[in-house]
This record gives sequence, structure tokens and C-alpha cells, in this order.
Amino acid sequence: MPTVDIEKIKKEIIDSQLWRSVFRGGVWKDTPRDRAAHIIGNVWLHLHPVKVRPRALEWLYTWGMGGISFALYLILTLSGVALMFYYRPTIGLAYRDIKDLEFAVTLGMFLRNSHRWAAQAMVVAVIAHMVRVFLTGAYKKPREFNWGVGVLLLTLTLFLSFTGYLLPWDQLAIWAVTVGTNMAGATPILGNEGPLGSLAGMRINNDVRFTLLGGTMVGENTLLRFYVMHCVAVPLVVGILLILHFWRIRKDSFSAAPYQANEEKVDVWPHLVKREYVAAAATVLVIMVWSILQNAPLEAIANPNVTTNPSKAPWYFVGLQELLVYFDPWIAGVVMPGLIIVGLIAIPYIDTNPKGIGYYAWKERPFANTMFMLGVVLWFALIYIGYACRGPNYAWYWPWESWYGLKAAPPATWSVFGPKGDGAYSMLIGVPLLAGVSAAWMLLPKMIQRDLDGRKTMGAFLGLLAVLAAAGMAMGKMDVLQGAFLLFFLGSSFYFGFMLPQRHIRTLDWPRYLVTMVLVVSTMSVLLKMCARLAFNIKYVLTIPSISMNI
Amino acid sequence: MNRKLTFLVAIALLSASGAPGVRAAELSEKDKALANPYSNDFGPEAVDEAVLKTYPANVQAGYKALIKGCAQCHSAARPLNSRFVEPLDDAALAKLKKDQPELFKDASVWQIETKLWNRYVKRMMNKPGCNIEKKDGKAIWEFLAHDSVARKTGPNAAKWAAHRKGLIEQLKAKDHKRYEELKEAKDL
Amino acid sequence: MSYRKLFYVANVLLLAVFVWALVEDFRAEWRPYQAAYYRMAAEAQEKLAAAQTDPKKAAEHKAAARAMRRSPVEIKQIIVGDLGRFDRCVTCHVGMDEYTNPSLKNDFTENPYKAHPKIDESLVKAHPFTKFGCTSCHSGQGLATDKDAAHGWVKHWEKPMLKGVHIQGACVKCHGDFETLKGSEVAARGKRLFQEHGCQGCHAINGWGGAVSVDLGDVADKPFERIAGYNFKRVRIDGKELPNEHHNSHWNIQNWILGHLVNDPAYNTPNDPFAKLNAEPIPPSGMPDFSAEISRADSDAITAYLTGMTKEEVIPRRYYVFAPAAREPKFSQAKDHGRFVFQKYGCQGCHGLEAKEGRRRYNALGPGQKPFDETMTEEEIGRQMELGREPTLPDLMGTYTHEELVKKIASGVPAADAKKWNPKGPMPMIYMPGWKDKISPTELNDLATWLLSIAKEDDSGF
Repeated sequence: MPTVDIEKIKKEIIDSQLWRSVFRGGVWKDTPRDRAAHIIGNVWLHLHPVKVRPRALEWLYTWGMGGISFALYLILTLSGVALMFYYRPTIGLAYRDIKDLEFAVTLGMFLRNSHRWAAQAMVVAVIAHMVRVFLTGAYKKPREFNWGVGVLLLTLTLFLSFTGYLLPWDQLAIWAVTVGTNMAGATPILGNEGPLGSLAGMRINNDVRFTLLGGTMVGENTLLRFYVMHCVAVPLVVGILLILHFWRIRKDSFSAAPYQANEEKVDVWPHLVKREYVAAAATVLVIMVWSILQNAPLEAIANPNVTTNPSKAPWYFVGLQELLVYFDPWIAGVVMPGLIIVGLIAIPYIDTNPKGIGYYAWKERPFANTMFMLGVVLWFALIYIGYACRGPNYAWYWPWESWYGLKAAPPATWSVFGPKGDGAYSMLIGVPLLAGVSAAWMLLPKMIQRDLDGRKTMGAFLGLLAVLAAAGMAMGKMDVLQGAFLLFFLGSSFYFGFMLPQRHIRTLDWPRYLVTMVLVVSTMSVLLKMCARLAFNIKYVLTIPSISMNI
Repeated sequence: MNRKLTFLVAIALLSASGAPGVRAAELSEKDKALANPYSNDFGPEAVDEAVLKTYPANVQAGYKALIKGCAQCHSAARPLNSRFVEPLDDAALAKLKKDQPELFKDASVWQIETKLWNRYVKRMMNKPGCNIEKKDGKAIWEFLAHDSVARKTGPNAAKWAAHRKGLIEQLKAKDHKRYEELKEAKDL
Repeated sequence: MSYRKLFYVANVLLLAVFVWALVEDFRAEWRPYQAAYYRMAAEAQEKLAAAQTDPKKAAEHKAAARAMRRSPVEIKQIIVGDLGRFDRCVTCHVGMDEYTNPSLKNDFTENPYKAHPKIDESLVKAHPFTKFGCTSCHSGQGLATDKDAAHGWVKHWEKPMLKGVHIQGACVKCHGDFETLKGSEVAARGKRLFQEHGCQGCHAINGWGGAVSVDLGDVADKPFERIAGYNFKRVRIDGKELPNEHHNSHWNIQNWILGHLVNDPAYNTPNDPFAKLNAEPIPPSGMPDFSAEISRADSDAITAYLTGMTKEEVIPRRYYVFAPAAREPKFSQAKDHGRFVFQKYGCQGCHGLEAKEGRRRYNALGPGQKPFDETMTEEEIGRQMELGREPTLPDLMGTYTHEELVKKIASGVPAADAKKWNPKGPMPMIYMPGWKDKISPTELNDLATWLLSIAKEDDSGF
């Protein structure tokens, strides 16, 4: 039998016109030239540099979350397109098509599950990516703009999740979207129920909520609109922004990890590419296994006449919905999310600390890390409360309590300052008092130019609070629980809202200082309002019903 | 710093004040009746002593029984200011029609039938919770029948009409919804 | 592990998990049932072939057996466009599929293999599967292909498969003539009982009846969202609590209706008469206790009837069977007509059968009550409040003239006029509605005549 020379056959195939026209590379030799050619000559890979610093490759440094987010985005796109073959966005057919996927289509349930779980995972992944980038200071100069693009991508990810949520057209969909879009109706000026909205001529059938819904209620038009946004419009915008995002990463030397002397770069092929592949494969594996083992939920078909009790937004928005307990919709649904987005984008511009770029710097960035992590923790705490502790009628149910148990009607709430009949005390005291306190709070940290003894100041403040609480208890006007709430929330607000800024940012220039303080005070207002509502049943600190302005 | 403290003190003190609860006062039968009133309920809960003295003894005894027994479920004002008039018998009814035909023109001031109070007293006595005994019931009936003719017909007719109309006006002013309800049911 | 190894392991795992997904999808619940059916049907044909002496017929049987064995295992469905139903029941219940089993008959006795019962009877002949599907009669989730999901015994499917006699409710949906139809006798009996026990006095059916409580014209569509789990948990059918709603569809509207008939509704829905959780006291369900008066079988019949009270579907005209309204019997005597009217409008629902005794009216005055005393225990107060009753008509009829009675029935008594036994307790829920817009003048006259005829002897002595 004639011997078969594998190498010869291989060479003939690779040198043939057919092969060369497609692959252009020739026989692969593991040399620096060929490794570089692999990156430069491949359209998908050539966004990578040819060589990369080894520091940039460490898992414990990068967490891989950016790449995993992108992998999830690709999974979502592929599974999404596959789902589009089976789904029709009209209210007569949408629910039925989901049932068909579940029971009649081969691998239909698996496909739907992958899409749903990948979406949930992507929200977590992009938030984790943002946290990592923050903690490694990789948003600082010259990467400020890319951070802003990332924040936009985060918002669009949440919006994609929100629009996708409506498509199964079940009870969860219709009511979660009703809650979300009603918040849009509370937009100041542009919403018909927001402050000054009626003055601007906004009605229920021409305001920003109407634009979102294509109607005055979540219905047929909304489904089509959300479908187009979810499948076409927003993915296109995300795609454009992703291109920009990746381009900027490449242009900004790919990783923020600082240079070390005599650092030897390594080839991207294989060192970075192999990590990316393994991460992507692991992501796909996790999503696949999850999709085999757990089915995406589907409730009863959407019925506009039957409101679920309680009606909750999806988990990533239920934190904002919990804020609705403490603030009016225009604040909880519009101003707060707006401040969060604008605030996040503003971070690179107000953070002048040159330390901590490209590495974890706990001690060198106390203010930045503390305030950011406070925000993240607060966001997830609100999500947890909204998800697990709110039951029928949005009453407080501990996570272990059955929602079948009856609860007493909630105690009557009251407002502190307002016109006669609405507020316990007059508006004429309230408005200047609140304005004054806010102004004082904003300015005081910068005005005290010397270092304060942290322990002594904190101790004095807490001591004063304890005395007040004790006095209140002695007079029978406060109970122990209320006193504890007072100490915890006011103490925290004082620490995060006054002590920390006073210590760390009093040296900032005025514009940056003021912007930072606005964000800090807004965050503290959440803590204070939580205390006011949960412990003292205060509905509004200031209410001016005639212009729908309630704080 | 001081400003913040003042604010915090204010908050602490304000939060401790709550709206005082209203203690429900013990309501009299009349007050309870006025929750869902008839026009009768706005009138006086007693008959003038002077008028009572002119009634026979058994009728006066019936009045006492009424004050004690009928006030159990509603104030005495309800029967005492009622539009019901019970003539003695058919002959008396015919005579009344001939002598004072105007009394038959306004049903919200005079409702004149034989055995009217007789039926109503028995109806009330048959309601659960009523513990008026039969002999008391008879006495109450005798009072109501006699009193209705005496106070509401004859020379007192005009005064009675004015009184009754006044009561209806009071109902209209104080509880218009109830007024409309009863007017529709022809039960003013 | 080196990255190279990880690379290979990851790829192998990806392939393996994908194959796993395919296998899991392949192991759908319906496949073994269908495969088993084909096998059983083939074996039956082969038996027939072996027993057959005529070679031609034997060959036919053998061919049939072969066809069975070669049949593809696939999703089967009945599409009824007019009714908007896509019923995949025949994927498992192959014996009922006209394409696989044209005769619609077989010798199997177990579900899901057996054929549809009564296939030769007019009931099934009049409702061919191609025109009606399965779920239009049986309810359930036709789109599903898992057993529990298809039977609707899962959370979030609010129209589970009907059990037992309740299926006759499906007849009521389309058959305006169900009261005289063969096959819907239980539902017809249910309607009769509904009227006989006076349910219509409080529960109008599509406006026909009293407006004291909810109109039951669409009760079968009641969303579960509107029934508190707290109340469902208190229902006892045959002495047992209803199993958890996640798996078995015992938490369905049939059992909710049944629970109102075989239990004391005030127990199912106790609300808050002592204002423990709310600012105002809220009385328990105003519905009286019918459990002693209506037997268990009769309660099922009423449930079957009410199962047909649905408005969710638009029944196409070709499917609906119109029927003229049943003619009322004629009476020679006014008071006999009056007694009929008393039953017709559901007066017996509050005033009792033959007007003998008023039914429960929580916190109203009633016979046998002690006078209200603030020092009573809460338990005693609760017991006394439950003794509240509607007026016992024979006691009162003697005190009315004919005109007064007609006027009273026509105008009713406002709810606010109720005298509470416990002044701090809840307002009695049941009241006398005005009937002048519903009962015709002749009927009113005769009704008054009858009522006066049942008045008790006047023993007052004056």
C-alpha cells in the first residue's frame, strides 16, 4: 500500500487557489510573524492589538465582565433572531406564539429560556463591568468619554430588557410596563401628570408617555412599538455604541493598567484570544445549562381589566418602584434615574484624584470608592426590599411571610409642610426652611476648611440624636424602633453626606464641588426619606398640591 | 452645624406629634336615627304637657308606654311627628272627608286611614328585638290614634301642616340625598 | 489546567450540553404515549390478522398493523378556526384523532389510549371534533403537550379541564335550549335549583334578578386574582382543604362556587367584623348558609349550571342554538301565581323557602337574640350578630294593606335603614332592593295577594 504523506496533502490543499482565496494565510507556523498576522489579517480580531501587557490579562484584575457582556449580547442577538421566526407582535397572537414555543416547537422552550436568562445575566454582567471599571479607575483621563458611552450602553441594556419584557403579553408584562410607563407620564413638563405638565399643554393623549405607548394605555400599538424598538431600533443603536466603545478601548491602549518598567508585552494570539474564547464558552455553557434546567416564567394572558396585586416591575427596576413608596413618580421615576445616569456620566469629570488608574486602590480613593459602592449597595438594597419584602397592596411582608396572610390597613400618613389642611405646618415656614437647610448642607463641608476629628464629630452627632430620641421616648411621642431608625438613617446621612465630603472634597474647585454635592445630597435624600416614611409615616416633607409639587 | 441641629430637632419633635384620635361619643337614639332620618325625626320627642292633660287617662298611660317602649329602636320623635292619622272608624273617616277635604290633598302631611296606627304598632311589635308587651301595645295604639286626630285634624290642622312642612324642609336642607330617596319612594 | 486543555474541554462540553438540550427536548412527555399507542394498535391489528381465516382480510389487517408501526411520532392538533382553538390533546389521546383512528373506536380502556366515550351517540355525532375541537367542551389548555399543563392543572391557566358533571356547563354556553336538551340534565337541574332556592334574589343572571350581590352572568370567567388566597384556603370540599394551587387545579372557579354552597360562606370570607385590621368593621360575606338546605349533588348541579355563565368567548352564530324562553305556567288563582312570582324573582334567597323564615342578615336584629350589652365577650357578640335575620314575613304580613305591600316591594328598603344589633358593628350587607323596574304590576299584585294569604293569625288582642 502506498504511504500517505499527510503533510504533503495538507500543503497541497493550503496552497490551492480555493483555500488561498478564502484564507490567504498559507501554512501556519507558530512564529511571532504568523501570530501577528492572525490578528491583523482577520476582520473579527483586528480590533485587538498585536501585543498586550500581561497585567491586562489577569482575571482578578478585569473580571472579564466586559467580554462576557458582549458574549451575552451575541447570544441574545442569535437567540432573538431565532425567536423572531416564531413570534408575532399582535395581542391576539403573541401569547399563543409563546405557548407554541413552549409546547410545539423543537427546542422552543430551550430557545426562549436562553434568551430570557441571557438577558437577566447581561444586566448583572454590565453592572459588574461598570463596578470593576470604577474600582480600577479606568474611567479617568483619557477615558472619560468611553465611560459615558458605557453608561449609555447600560441604560440601553435596561431599556432592551424593559421592551423585551412586554413581548410575551402576559399579566406580568402588561402591568410591569404599565408601572414603568406611568412613571414616564410623571415627567416634569413633558408628562401630563408631572409638575408643570398641564401648563405645558400636556394631556394624556399627547405627552411623552403617549409617545412611548402609542396610545393612552398599554395595548396593541405598544406591543408593536416595543417589538420594533426591542428587535431593531435599540440593537442598532447599541451596535453603533459598541463599535465606538471598542474603538475607544483600542485607541486608549486597551487596558488602563499602568506601565511598569521593562515590562515585556505578550502576543494577543494566543494569550488574550484564548481567554476570551474560554470566557465566552463558559458563558454559553452556563446559559445553556440554566436554560435546560429552569423554564422562563409565563403568567396568565394579559388582561387590562385585572390588575395583579402586587404589580411589580422586573427586578432591575423594582428598586425604582420601591422608591415610589418614598417619592412621587416624577422624582422616583424621572428625576432620580436621570440623576443617576447624568451623575454616572459626570463622575470622570468631577473626580480629579490622579491615583488609582488601572489598579484597585482602596486606601488612595476613599471618597470615590465609598460613595460609589454606597450607591451600588443602596440600589441592590432597594431591589431586595421591592422584590422580597413587598406583598399585596404593597404592604410590608417579611420574606418568610405568606402573602395569603392578612395585614392591617396601613396607618395614616401626614405631610410636614404644606398649605393649610395638607401639611402639619405652614408652607411659609417650610419652603425657606428646606431651602436654607439644603443650601447649608451643600456649602458647609467646603466652608469648614480644617480637618475635623472624625470620631469626636460622629460621636457628638450620634450622641445628640440619642438624646433627642430619648427625650421623644420619654414624652411618649416616639417608640424604640423609631428612635433606632432615626439614629441609623440620620447617622448614616451625616457620615456619608457631611463627614466624608468635608474630609475629602473640600479642596475641589467650586463647580466640581457643587456637582458632587448635588449627587451626594440626592443620595442622602433617599436615606432620609426612607426613614421619614418607614418610621414616622411622613408622606411628603413639602407639598404644594396646586402645582403637583410634592417632595 | 447649628442650623442642621435645629432642623434635626424640629424634625424629631414634629415626627412625634400625631393627629389625635377622635373618641367616639356615646350617641343617643335620636342621633343614631338622624344618621338615616325621616322628616319625623327632626321634630320634638315629646308632646306638650298641656296637650297631654286634655287626653283621657288610658291615652295618657299609652303615652308613657310609648316613651318607654318605642324609644328602644328609634327616638319618640318618629311616631310623634308622623303624618299618620287614624280616625275611629269608617264613619269618622267619611265625616272627615266631608268636613275637611283639604286634609286628603297632601299625603306627606296627612296620611289618613282606619286601622293605620293599629297596623303599624303591630308591625313594630313583630320586629325582632322589640319587647313591648301586648297590653302596652294596645295602650300605645290607643294613644297614637287619639293623639293623631286631636293634634293633626280639626282646628289644629293648619298648625300641624306648618309643623310638618317645616320638618320636611329641614330634611331637605340637612340631607338632600335622603330627601330625594324618600320622595321617590313616596315616604316623605 | 492549561488553556489548551480548557479549550478542548469547553468545546466538548458545548457539544455535550447541546446534545443534552436536544435529548431533553426529545424526551417530551407526549412521545411515549403516542409511541405506545401505535404499538398497541399494531398489536391489536396483528391479533386480528392471526385470528382471521379469510386471507384477503388477514392481509388488510397486516397492512394496517404495518401502517401503525410506521406512523411518525409527531404533534397532532385539531384546529378550529371559528372558535380560535388549537387543541393538541390528540397528540397523547391518539384514539380520538380522526386521522390516525378513522373509526374513532378502539378496544383500549385506559387513558390516554382509549377512544372517546359515547362515540355512537348523538351527543358526539352532533359535535364533530373537526368543528368543535376538545377544549370548547372540556376546557383545559389545548395548546399544551405536557399532561398537567394540557389539563390546565397548572398555575396561571384559569380554565382547567372540567371534572365530572361540571362539564355540562359547557353545554349551557352554546345551548340556549339546555333546559330541555338530552345530555344537559344536570345543568338544567342546576338552573332550576338556582331559582328554587332563591339565589336570583341577590344574584342576578345577566340583569335578571336582584342587584344585592354580584351578577353571576359571567362568574365562570372570574379571575383568580380577585379571589384572595386567604379565602381559598378556608374552603372545605368534602371536609378537606383544597390542595395547594400550584399543581392540582383544585383552586379553580368550580370549587370556589361549590365552596359557597357546601360551606358557610361567612366562614370562607370572614372579613373583619371587629375592625381588627381596618378602620371600619367589615361584615363577613352576606350570603346565608345553604349547606343544610342544598345537598352535595345538588350543589354540583348548580355549579355545573354556573360553569356555563361565561362571556369570554364570542360564540359564532352558527354554533349557538337559540331557543325561545320557556313559557310560564298559567295559574287560575291569583295567590298561586303570587307564590310562583315569589319564587321567580328569588325572594326565597332572603326570605326563606315559602317565606317561612328570614335568612341570615349579619348584625341585623333577629329572633332569639339577647339585647346588646357592651360587656359581652367578643365571641358572644359574634354569635349574636350571626343571629340577625331578614324579617319573617308571616309575622308581618297581617300588618300591611294590599297597597302598602305593593308599594313596599316596589320601592324596597334602603340599605342604610337597617337597624344594627351591635351599634359599633358592621352595617348589615343584605337589604331589600326595589323591584318596581323588574316585577310587572300584575305580578306585584298577585304576589301581594299571596303574601297576605300566608299571614299569621292576629293574636295581639287589639
